[in-house]
Amino acid sequence: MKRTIPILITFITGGIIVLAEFIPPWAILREHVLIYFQIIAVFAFFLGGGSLLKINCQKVVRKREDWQFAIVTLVGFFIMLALGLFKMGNPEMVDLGFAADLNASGSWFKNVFDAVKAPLSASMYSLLAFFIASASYRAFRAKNSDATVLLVSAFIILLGQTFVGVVSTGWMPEWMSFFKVENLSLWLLAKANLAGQRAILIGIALGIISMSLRVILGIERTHLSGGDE
Amino acid sequence: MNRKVLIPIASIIVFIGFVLLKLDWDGADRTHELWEALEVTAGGFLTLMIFSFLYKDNAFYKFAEHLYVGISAAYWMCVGFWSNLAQQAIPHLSQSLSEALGQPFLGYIWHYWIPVALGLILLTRLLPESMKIGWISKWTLAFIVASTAGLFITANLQANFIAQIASTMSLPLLPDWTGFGDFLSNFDLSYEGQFVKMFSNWVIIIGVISGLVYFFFSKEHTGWFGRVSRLGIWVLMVTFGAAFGYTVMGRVSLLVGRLTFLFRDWAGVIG
Amino acid sequence: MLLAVTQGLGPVFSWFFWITFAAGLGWLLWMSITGREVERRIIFLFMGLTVSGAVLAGIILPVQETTVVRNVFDTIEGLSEGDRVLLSLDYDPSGAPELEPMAKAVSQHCFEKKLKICYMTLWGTGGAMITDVIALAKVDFPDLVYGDDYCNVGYRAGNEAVLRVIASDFRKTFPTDVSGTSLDSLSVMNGILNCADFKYIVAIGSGRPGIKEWVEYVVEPSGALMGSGAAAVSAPQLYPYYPQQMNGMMGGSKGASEYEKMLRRVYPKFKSSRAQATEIMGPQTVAHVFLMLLIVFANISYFLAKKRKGASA
Repeated sequence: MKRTIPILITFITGGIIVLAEFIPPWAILREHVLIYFQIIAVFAFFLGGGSLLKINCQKVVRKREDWQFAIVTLVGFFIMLALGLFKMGNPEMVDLGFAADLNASGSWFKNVFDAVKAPLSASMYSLLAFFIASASYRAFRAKNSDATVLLVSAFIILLGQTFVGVVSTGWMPEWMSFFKVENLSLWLLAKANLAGQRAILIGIALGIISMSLRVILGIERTHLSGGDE
Repeated sequence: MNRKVLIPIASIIVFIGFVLLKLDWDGADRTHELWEALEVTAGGFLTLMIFSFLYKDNAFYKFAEHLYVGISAAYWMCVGFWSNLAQQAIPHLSQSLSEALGQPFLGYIWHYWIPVALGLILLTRLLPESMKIGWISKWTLAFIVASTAGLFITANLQANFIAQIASTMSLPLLPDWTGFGDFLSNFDLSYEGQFVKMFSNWVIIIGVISGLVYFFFSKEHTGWFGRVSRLGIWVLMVTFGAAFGYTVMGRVSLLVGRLTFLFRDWAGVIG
Repeated sequence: MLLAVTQGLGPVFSWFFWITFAAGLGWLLWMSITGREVERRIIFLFMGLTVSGAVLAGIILPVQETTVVRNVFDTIEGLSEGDRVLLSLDYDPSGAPELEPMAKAVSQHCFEKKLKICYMTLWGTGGAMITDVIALAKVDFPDLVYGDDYCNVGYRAGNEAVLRVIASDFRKTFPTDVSGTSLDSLSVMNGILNCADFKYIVAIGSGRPGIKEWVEYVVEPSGALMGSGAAAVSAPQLYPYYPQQMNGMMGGSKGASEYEKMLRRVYPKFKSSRAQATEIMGPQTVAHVFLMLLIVFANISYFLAKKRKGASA
């Protein structure tokens, strides 16, 4: 039961979705399965939140390293949860009750999102600009022909995306406009890059198709292993 | 006083000071003004806390990082609850509950209990291991993996395999061809010219084939096969170079966005 | 007051800043030539100063229009009054500096053409982004009526599963809008049964699920016409789909600034509206030049070290 039922679920669910593409009347079955998937996805969010709560509570109770910061996580978690679940301070609540848009302009949920989550999220990713600069200085070297091709390509793209590129080759006549940096950059992106990306895409597609078939047919079972089998 | 107490207290005082500076005391809507001031001040402080990591890992960064995790997890739970449960599942399961949540009842569909049951089964992973019931969550896991696999097969076959081969092979090797004489007399290197079009199509076709040859590991990369594979590596290197260039562009844009916020909204040094 | 002080000191500060910066770069070049290590925090400092200096200086540079962006603009320009457009904002605040200008410009363009927009998102954080974009668009169009001119169906969890269902039946996944109003009572959604019923889909996204998934699960099975706005990080990966599976794409802030330029060229009334992406392109250019200098310095250092090694051997 612990093994057979999951394998059966995998086979039937995957089979319905694939076969529905070839048997039009089955499309309704596929849609039901996919709606189930959407509803289950939310429970995955609850699972994530629950795990976070469990781990951080344990950290505080057992006073593990940096347990004070676990309190910060928990406080942030509960405040946001309360604001969102009860739609506190939502101006649309007056007319619509709980039907109010969760992200309505001026709601406390949206305000905290704008004040805390938005700047943190944006700042985290913008840090990468600094690390890219450092990596460019330390590792981006023309050590062999492959690295040189990569470097030249990156250089043209960087130059072509800016006004400096346009100015540097602006003097070229129309009959050789292919060599203008902005055109060369566009060509690299839309033609040479396209060729490489397409080869990668086709390769990945073949890999995904074969792996997915193995999963549906029950040959690949690693997702069912582990834990208390 | 202990540094561990002094620094947080000092930070809170500075924070309140900034909020007071940002407050528009003459504003008509006081609550709105307060939120605006809090938003901008918190945004600026948290941005600087994250940037402090560039110097070294520190307590301010850890504070911001932990706050981010807590807020994000709750954010996703709330959004998920209101969008998929309250608006999609419950209106088909319970009239009283959907009315309580302000949603119209859309008609009872008994089988919507299946995903709810599978979802609750998934949550058994949170129960203590000693209860030995966590294995049942694999039913839900099997459903999720199978749905994803099913979707992946058809989508990849259509959009990423057949359509990509068709797009490559439908490229004309001699675009706008009206004869060799015309080709020579109109020959130029303009971006929209016939020669560049032709060259581009050749590059795409040869590039895709050689890239695929590089990924073919069942045959040793020697002889002509090795040479084509070598060309494939070069095509891939151009691809990675383009990806690098665009990644730089993206990350710099984000940094510009953050610094613009700091200078314009927070510090008010630019208009 | 602070603004007045900085503006007053502007020219003096500006010259002092750039001269110091140039001297710093000279020092960096000297360190590279002599083969000495430069601490990574110094590189961070240079990067921060470069971009900060450019932001403070408010450098605005012209951008060149490209076909790939113009295709999106021309498609919207070719639609008729009352046509429905689906605008999916699949990003979070980290992608907003690049993608919000696109969403704003496309919304402005559609509203100017009296097209009706249905907003949706595949990202949980997208709901907040939709609120922001609608607020930005309403600055130029304060008389927009919800339900008649635009609607917001919000977010559904499920990524690809959401897309595959709406490709064949929009109401199965979104029976109501974000406030629980039935889609049947919104004139924007009259006669819309699936994604192909929209005259045009514009997916603006920064990752997964995003534009790639829109092509795979909506465009391929339903044959809908789609254009896109991609974060720079994912833009190169999407070229294999252009132009067969999506007819145009705005890539990163460059793509967004091109769209802003086209919009202002055709509709001068938007010249007074803030061009967020165009403002980014100045500092972007300065940062690119700085990064290219870093790469050049690094390679000078590498080749000199190699030469020294060869000579000593």
